Amino acid sequence: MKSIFSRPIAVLTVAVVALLSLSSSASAADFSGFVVGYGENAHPRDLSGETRVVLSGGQFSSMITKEGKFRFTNVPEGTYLLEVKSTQYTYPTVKVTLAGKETKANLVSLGFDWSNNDNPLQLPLTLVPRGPTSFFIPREGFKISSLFANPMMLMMGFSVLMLFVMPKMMASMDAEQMGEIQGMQEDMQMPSFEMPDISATLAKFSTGASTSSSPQIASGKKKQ
Amino acid sequence: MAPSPPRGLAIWSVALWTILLAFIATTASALDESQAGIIDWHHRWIGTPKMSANVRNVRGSNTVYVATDKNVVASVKAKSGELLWRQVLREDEPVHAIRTHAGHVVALTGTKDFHVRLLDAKTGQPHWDFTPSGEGSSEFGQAVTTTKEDGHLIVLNEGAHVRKLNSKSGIQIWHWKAQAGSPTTYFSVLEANGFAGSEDVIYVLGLQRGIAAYSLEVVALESATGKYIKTFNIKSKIDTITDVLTLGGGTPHKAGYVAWLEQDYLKVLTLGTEKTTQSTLKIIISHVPAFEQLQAPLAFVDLGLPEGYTEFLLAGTVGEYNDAKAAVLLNIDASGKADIVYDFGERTGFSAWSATTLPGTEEVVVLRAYRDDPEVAVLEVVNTKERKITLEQQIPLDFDKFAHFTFASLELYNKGQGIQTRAYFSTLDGSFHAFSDVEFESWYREESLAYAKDVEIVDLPERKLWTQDVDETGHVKSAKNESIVAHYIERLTSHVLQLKDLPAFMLSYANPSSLFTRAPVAVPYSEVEIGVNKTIQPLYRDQFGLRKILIFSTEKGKIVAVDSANKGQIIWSRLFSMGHDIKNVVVVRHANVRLPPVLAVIAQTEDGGNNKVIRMYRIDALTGKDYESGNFFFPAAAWIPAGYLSAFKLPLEDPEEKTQVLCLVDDRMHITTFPTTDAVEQAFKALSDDFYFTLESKVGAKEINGYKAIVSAETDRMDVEPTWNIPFPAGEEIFENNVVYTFWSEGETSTSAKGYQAVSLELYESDTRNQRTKSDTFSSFTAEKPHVIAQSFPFSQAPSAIGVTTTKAGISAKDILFGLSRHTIMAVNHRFLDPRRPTAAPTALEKEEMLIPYSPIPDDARLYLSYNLEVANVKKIVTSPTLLESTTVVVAFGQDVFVTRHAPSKTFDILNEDFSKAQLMLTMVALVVVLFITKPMVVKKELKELWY
Repeated sequence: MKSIFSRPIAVLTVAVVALLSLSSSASAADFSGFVVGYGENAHPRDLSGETRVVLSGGQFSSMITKEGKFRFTNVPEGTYLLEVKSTQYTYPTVKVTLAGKETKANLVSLGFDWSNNDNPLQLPLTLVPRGPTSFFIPREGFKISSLFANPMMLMMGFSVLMLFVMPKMMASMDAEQMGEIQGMQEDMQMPSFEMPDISATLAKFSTGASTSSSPQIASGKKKQ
Repeated sequence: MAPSPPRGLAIWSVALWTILLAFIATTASALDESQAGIIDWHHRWIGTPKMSANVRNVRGSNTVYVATDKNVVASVKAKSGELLWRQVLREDEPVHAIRTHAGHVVALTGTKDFHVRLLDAKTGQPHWDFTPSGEGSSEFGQAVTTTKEDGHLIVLNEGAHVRKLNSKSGIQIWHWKAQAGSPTTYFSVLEANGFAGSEDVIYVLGLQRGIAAYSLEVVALESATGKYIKTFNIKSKIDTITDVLTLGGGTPHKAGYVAWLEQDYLKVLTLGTEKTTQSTLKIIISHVPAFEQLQAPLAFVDLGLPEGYTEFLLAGTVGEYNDAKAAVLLNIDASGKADIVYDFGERTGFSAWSATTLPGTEEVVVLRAYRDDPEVAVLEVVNTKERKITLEQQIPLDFDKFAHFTFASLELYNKGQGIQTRAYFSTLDGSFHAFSDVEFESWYREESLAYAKDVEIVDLPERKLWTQDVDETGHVKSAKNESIVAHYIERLTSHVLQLKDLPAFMLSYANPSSLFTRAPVAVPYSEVEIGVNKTIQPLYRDQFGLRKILIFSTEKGKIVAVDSANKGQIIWSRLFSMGHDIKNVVVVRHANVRLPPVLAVIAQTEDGGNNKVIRMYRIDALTGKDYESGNFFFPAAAWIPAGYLSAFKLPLEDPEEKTQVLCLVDDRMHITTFPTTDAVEQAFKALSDDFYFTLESKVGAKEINGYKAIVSAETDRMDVEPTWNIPFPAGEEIFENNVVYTFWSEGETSTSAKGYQAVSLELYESDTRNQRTKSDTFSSFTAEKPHVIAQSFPFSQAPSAIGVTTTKAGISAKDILFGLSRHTIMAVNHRFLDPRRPTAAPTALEKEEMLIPYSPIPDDARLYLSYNLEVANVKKIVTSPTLLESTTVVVAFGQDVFVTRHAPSKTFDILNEDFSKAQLMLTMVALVVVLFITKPMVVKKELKELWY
């Protein structure tokens, strides 16, 4: 963050930068600085005439001249939040401390600790935009990829795929495996899809062999 | 798995795919660029011009620079009225003077600060901004003039400081200051003929406060150095600043004069001397036949002539009923005495004046704008050298819309062989007009909308209803006295006739963009009305109820109906006569079968004896005309001899006219219902036992008062009684069980950040889950207190207005709409302002509810509904539901008017704009074709399989 503020701005037409001029009265001071445009060859002239620099949410506000200069007069001592209201670019927010001869400027973010004096900025203040403000979301045009990213589409695609792959898989299986799978399917379907046949259940319960046979085989197979 | 022909299944699954395609909704949270300017429109208003300046050019200037009472300096295109640029100044920054200098605009502005700015003629960006530290402005103590030799500026501010500023850089050349504690307030500066020993002189004119009156004081300063030369104290008795005029000068070689009115005399001082001449006003009056019936003392009229000219105007009110103005033009002769030049005569109504010079000459030409007819106004142009009227132009100007002139500015220029006239003028309703004798260069800007203080949104009737009453040619049918058969035949023929629209309808149906009314791109300057003949689209509702009429009531006493579609075309406007303070506009009847929507306009005026009177008008919302129903109990206008307190609709409908009953509370604490039929009064009395209402007190600190209705059985009077009051923070928005407000936080301790805070309150009946109060409603007239959850969030912007989205069924999420001082509108989802947002790590329950962990309100430009537009000074945001649950119409106003559509939960109930119905149709057709082709193939294959 610091680097963009120390970047020399050669495009500034004013070579003589008006330093913070303190008026005769100690309690109220003047504060000024510069706003620049975005990009390598940005000229403050390119900034919209609607651009304003405000202190503390609008208690003080200033227009930007063609040189990019802003100036506040008769500002009482204290700390202020400085913001640039621009429809073109996004600027960082700055905490300005006016205390007698001592004037400080620090970079701050919304909701941060006010006593934090990190990120000091060079005076006179030169505000460089973080970038052009984007107001719009890019339009999502029709894309084949977005079509396939849809979960419904994926399910559908998978089932269509299986439609073609399954018969081939079935064909490649040997008779024993086929029988096993069919047996498994039957076992799985038995309790769920049919009404429980009491006599059959009781018979199975008494013998106990046939129900446990297929899992045994399956587990046996795995061990092989 | 059932054995089915795999190919057939594949085809059907493809068909299913295509159908699914229809349900793929893109998640668009913000606006995309192609929608900007299509779903929304923005009218940039500047307010009513009170002064103007243009670059003097024999071929006419392209732009006129104006300063308005809304603290705006703007450049308006002369031919079209288009706004080229504007500088919206702070609310405490009025414009004291504007003038053109070296092709650019000098503006003197401010109150506690004083600014001199040289604004660029093309962009409005300041070349320089001169602000003296520790100085401000005073009421009349600001003036500016230029020096002829070096083209610099002489500026006066605070009635005490005179400076010479380099006009190229804005750097101070010298500074002269009145002595501290001086009883003299300076009001004007002028470069003029010097006197013996001092040739190069700037005169500073001031009024010295005496015991009974002011006396004139003239200070001479050296133009090059600002050195004090001499003070001339002129023996005089002046009552007010408006009795003094500065004339002549403008160069070191021309004499400067001061003219003033002192009791029965008109006196003229030649600057640089102590020589004063005087003329008796009585003699002037006796020379002017029009002054015969003079009703009030004569007064100066500022003609707006540049320095160097000595013509000035004396005007007075005449006529039997003080309803006319007469004026006389005077000029100062070589001896320094005022002479009568031209008698303008008597004209009815107010007159607005302006003067300029004939291109390429020094001949002064004066414009007088007045009206003596309700339909037309007159522009009268007088050449003062030839002493004759050169142009008497009647212009159509509806009195019921614009009333009288308040300001005028004349421009003459050469075109070909002849001289062309262009006149700019403001009218009492606030609008700004231009007349040109070139065809299609007359225009008007409905600047009264810059003073909008409230809006009422009226739904339009359905087209079906509209076509029932209006035949194909647009004529209103006499719906009665028709047999059913005749009616049926007519209906049938009209439907058959409508068939011709079918192909166009089909096309529009295939094109989804037709859902969004695309304004013709050829109308870029929608805020300007050119000419007076304009076609208004038939007023009926669109498919989704997005089109509405926005009824703005303004501080100027005008009501303007604006189409929410069609780029905000003005449908009708109506100015209530002078002194009407519109308090409330209520829709008392919505569009109904055969019955137009009706508005009740409630205004407060004063009668002849300065007593307050409430006036109520019933007007047709579609036309703005008085709504006359012919029923004795429903007059188009009614009045109550008392001051206004409140007006609201009651949950009652009168059986005769199907209008909602209106309740008017006046400052005598009486209730009047409207209509006052017996049935309505009985219904209200039955209701009055449980009738409570609240009022906002706007005097002093904001307060909410609770009232109860009292109906006395004996006297048959309905009164109200105050029950409670509580102070309330300003700038809040209340909806459902939520309150949102914002404030600037200086920080409790030195470590707490300074900035705006948005506070959200949620009100519950109890802090215990599922514990309810016994009543259906939670009343502010009972002792129970709600359980309040509150949280504040750092907010990055200074808000100027708060609104909330409203949808038809309230199913969609709610967005809080903030009007920001950076001249934009931001939509923040209510979830961001939920006071229950966890400040610690979210618990499982909070995660399940999808509460967002606590954070400041994001400042993302993509949340701006008005994207990069400068929507100046939003004071109010009003929303109105549409037939689409997802979408709400947002109206933001204050100075500019911005109208858009907003879908807080995205447009889930309409197809995506990208969705192509044509494509879907084509796919379906293709599939059917494929089916028909493949079916014989499959049959053949199966047959083959059976055969072998």
